[in-house]
Amino acid sequence: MISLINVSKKFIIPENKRGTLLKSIISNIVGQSAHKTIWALDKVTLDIKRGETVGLIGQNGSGKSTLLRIVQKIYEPTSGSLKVQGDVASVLHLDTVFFPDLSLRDNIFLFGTIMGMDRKGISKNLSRIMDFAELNEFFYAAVRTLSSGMKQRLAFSVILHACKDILLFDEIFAERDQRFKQKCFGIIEGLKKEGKTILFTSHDLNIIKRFCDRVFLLQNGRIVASGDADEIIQRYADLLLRTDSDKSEV
Amino acid sequence: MKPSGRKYINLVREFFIAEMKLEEQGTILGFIWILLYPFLMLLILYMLFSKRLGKGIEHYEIYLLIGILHWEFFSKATSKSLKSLISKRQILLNTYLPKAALILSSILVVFISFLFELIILGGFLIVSGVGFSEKVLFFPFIVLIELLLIIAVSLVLSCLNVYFRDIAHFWNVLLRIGFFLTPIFYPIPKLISEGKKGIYLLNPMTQIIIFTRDILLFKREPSFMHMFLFFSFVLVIFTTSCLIFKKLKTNVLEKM
Repeated sequence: MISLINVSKKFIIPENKRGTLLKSIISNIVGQSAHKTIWALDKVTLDIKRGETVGLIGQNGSGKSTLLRIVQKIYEPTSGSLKVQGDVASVLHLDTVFFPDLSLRDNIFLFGTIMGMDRKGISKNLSRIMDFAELNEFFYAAVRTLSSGMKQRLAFSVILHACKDILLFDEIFAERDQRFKQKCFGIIEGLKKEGKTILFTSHDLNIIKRFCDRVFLLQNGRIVASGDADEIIQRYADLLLRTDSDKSEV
Repeated sequence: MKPSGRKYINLVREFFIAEMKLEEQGTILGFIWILLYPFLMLLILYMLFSKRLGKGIEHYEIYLLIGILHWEFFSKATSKSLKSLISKRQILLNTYLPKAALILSSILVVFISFLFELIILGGFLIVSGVGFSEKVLFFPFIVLIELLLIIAVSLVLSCLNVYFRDIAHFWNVLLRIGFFLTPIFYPIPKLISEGKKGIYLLNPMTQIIIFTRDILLFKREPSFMHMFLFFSFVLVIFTTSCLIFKKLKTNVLEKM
């Protein structure tokens, strides 16, 4: 179960190049306010029940990734409250979690632990993880030798075997290998039957329609619509059209 | 998800294993390089100073080695853990990882090589005829205090390094100066004012080195009051740093 009440998230972006202590001190003395405030999320309230599969859609920059990071507790909300019940296993971008110079074997142990497994559990599942990812011959190879798609398969495989209640993904279906995609679809159906809670974002609206019990549409950090997939996808399409026509008027 | 105690320990262990593997990868001599450096330092400083600053100090080579090993541990551990957050930027932004676990595992890697160096120090003690006394039992307590100090410094520096990338350079310079302001290759000068003496004594590494020399080299039992006061001092530093870390860590990822 995931619950957000009036969650807002503010980012302070420097307007000119800083980052060293000296420049920071100087600009403070001179009194320059070299900052811009961006509200990536603006009073977001949503509730996800256990066992639901929820999709987040919206244009780039609408706040989807920020929302996922808040749920994962990578970011803390600037205001509002968050409640998460259940173990979360998630990675936003699946090909970023590995140490490139370590072998697949070493990375599985590390990543498996990050996902909450213990050594024994990982050892037991090692062959299953490798089989699912279809990467058996790379067991001792360094992860840097894998393609991005292969890394994503491996990460996804480990996450599945971690067997946690809540799964969060950001564009995992960007993976273009059709055959593996179909395999994943089968897995997602299985996870839904097991009563897992899944929250994900995707630009592929067919996937949203296929799996999601509910969909939220984000724009400029706000939830502008929520409901069942067909309805919200239509709203999104309308929104995009409106945005396009606004742009063409300019 | 904030992990429970068991899972936290698992994480520190796994990151520790990963970092150890990364350190020795691709090198020919592997682990030996890590041990070689302090002993090269020992050789050079001994040759330079044994006849001058070291005059009158019995077993100057051990006196020196104790100073070098402690300083090495402190400077390597803090320098390495300083970078532990910023270097893991990608993974920190994509999945939840407790930041302190990353910092601790970096320190642990350096701690292991420190332990090996201590074994070699033990060898020196035997070979030079100094041997051990029962006072050596106080030594683990000194190492514990040193660890607390290192963790305290690392927690704060690693966060600051994300906000200001030149903290690493600052720290490097401070360490270089510190090397000369700590009585590593010379004793605290006897004929100096109380004020100047204070500078030495305020430096916690000075105390750690002095205690170790007392325990291992001169086989003197350190005064209980003295140890207790020093332990309290470091505990205050540690507690303050934990509070600062708690404040800094909430927004550190937004700055990455």
